[in-house]
Amino acid sequence: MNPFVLLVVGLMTIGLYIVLSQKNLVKVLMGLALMETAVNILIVAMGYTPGGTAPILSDGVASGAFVDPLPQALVLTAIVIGVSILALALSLVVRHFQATGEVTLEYDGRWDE
Amino acid sequence: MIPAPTWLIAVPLLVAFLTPLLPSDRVARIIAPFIMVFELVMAFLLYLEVNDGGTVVEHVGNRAPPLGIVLVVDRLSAFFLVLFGGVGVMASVYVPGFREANKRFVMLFLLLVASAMGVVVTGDIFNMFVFLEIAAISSYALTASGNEKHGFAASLRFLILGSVASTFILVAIALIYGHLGTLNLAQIGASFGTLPSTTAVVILGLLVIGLAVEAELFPMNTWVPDVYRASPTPVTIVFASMMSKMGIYAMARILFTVAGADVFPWWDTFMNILLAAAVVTVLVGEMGALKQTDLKRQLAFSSMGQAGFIMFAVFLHTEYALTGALFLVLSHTFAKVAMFSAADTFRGITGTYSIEGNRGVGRKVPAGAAAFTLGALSLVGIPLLPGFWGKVYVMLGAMPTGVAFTDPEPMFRFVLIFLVMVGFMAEILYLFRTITVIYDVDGGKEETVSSEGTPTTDEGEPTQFSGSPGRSIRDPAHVVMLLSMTLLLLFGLMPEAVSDIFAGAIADLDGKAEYIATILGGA
Repeated sequence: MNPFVLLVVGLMTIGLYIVLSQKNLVKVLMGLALMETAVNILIVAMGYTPGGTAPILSDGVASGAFVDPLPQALVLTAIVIGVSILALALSLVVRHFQATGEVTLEYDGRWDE
Repeated sequence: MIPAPTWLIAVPLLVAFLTPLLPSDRVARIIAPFIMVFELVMAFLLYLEVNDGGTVVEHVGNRAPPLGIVLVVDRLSAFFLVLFGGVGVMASVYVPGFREANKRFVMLFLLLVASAMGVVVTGDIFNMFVFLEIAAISSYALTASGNEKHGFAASLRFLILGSVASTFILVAIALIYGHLGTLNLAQIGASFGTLPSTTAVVILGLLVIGLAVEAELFPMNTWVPDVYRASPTPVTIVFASMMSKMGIYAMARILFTVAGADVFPWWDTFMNILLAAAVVTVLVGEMGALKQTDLKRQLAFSSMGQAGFIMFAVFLHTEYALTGALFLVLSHTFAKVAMFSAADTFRGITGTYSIEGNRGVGRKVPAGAAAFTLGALSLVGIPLLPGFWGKVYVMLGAMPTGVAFTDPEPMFRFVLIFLVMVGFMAEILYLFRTITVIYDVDGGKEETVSSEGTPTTDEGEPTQFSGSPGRSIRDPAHVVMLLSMTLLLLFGLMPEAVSDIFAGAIADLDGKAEYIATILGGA
């Protein structure tokens, strides 16, 4: 379990740092993707049993030696959500660039020209 | 068992996914209000059923918990369902006349409402996460649909914050599953006390931070002003009146029904931190609104302040404070529907959301000005409006009782109450300043020159209501404003009738043992 935790915390920290420190929106989104990956690893790690096999009933596999299938189902959902958010975000970045010619979120905050 | 909670989610979802097949954008626009009316009726039937026969628990796909997902409607969630149904109807009244609304807009709108309903009825934490994400994705897209130059930036800011928050929620869910082996809210509640207190604090902290984006709790609320400003009015109404309430509901449910007070030794400290965050939210919102020159942005900041005050009341977690919180929910919901609608009618005349640009507009749109004023009066808490009852109850609940004045605990409470009062002062100041500008009689003549042309958006296209000026009774904004004003007066004048409903809702919020027994006992 420990190496997983280290990996998750490391990836999460790097991702969050990128999101907070970068101005370029594409880089920020890369940070977000890293964070999502970190959480997905955490979820899968939660259901991992050392030495366990895939939870498919078949001959020659003793019951109890399975990894927990539920986190894997959760992760599938989480991945789909993450991908769709990333796709939407990238298309928004393109539209933002077309509208303002910038790939950062810096603007003067005035709405009524 | 005809009014089942599943219908609330399934019908708008199904229609949402079928809208791309519809022959034209017009058909899609006309369908939206009908779905919302269906939602309201269904929510109301559910409310009646819950009131008569107690909590409704539905096993989705006939699988009993903990293996299956449950949908739970108790008196608290039924109240929010009816409220959301009402807001959905009022927001959707705009859609048929909203020319920019194509099939995709209607689809996202239905998805947003369906997922807000889903968050309220679900009894499963991962299910709640999925609904939160659907709500979030559709709101990012809807924000960008306003055709404003800065709409994409606003939407992206919302998206980045929302996605970071959702990874926090996911981490919390992973920790819950890893430690307790369940995702069912009732089961989590039953065994939450067995968690090591550090883990419990981390889990609750992550969940609160995650939900804080939707609930507009400081410091996760920086997206609010730009997103409210960029969104088309029906969407702004849904954000202000449905999304923030959804976040607050989810937060209250998790804190009090699932976790429950005193699950770990530092509960009081934890709540005090949350109280402080809520008070900062009030101050940021109300102070931020003071210097706004744009009407919609000012209202957005005001929404933030009101959401902060509602959360202040929820985190106080006394009988009075919670009653007050529910009054404030009513007040803020319908006041903001009225005020954003009014802002829209103003722009229909003057072509701008800027406050100075709308000087004297009250003479041309008397109904809009009246709705704005009534909403503002309820927000600041003028007697006989629901906002007044809300503020009275919350203040009664906030006062520490039976302790010496000099103890550190009541001192902290008094400081918070004082700061909230400062926020109220600011609120009165800017709302009344805006009202005087809107009613300014002399300024009205100067404005007539610029108000003659057809109002346009930033892109130079006609705005949605340019065909029907503010005075026409067919203008949907007038229907919405009339409805919300009536509701505000109604709830304000009958506080006893409403507070009976609230008493039941609060009993269900705190009835942790009953909640667990109803859901798991029936299995």
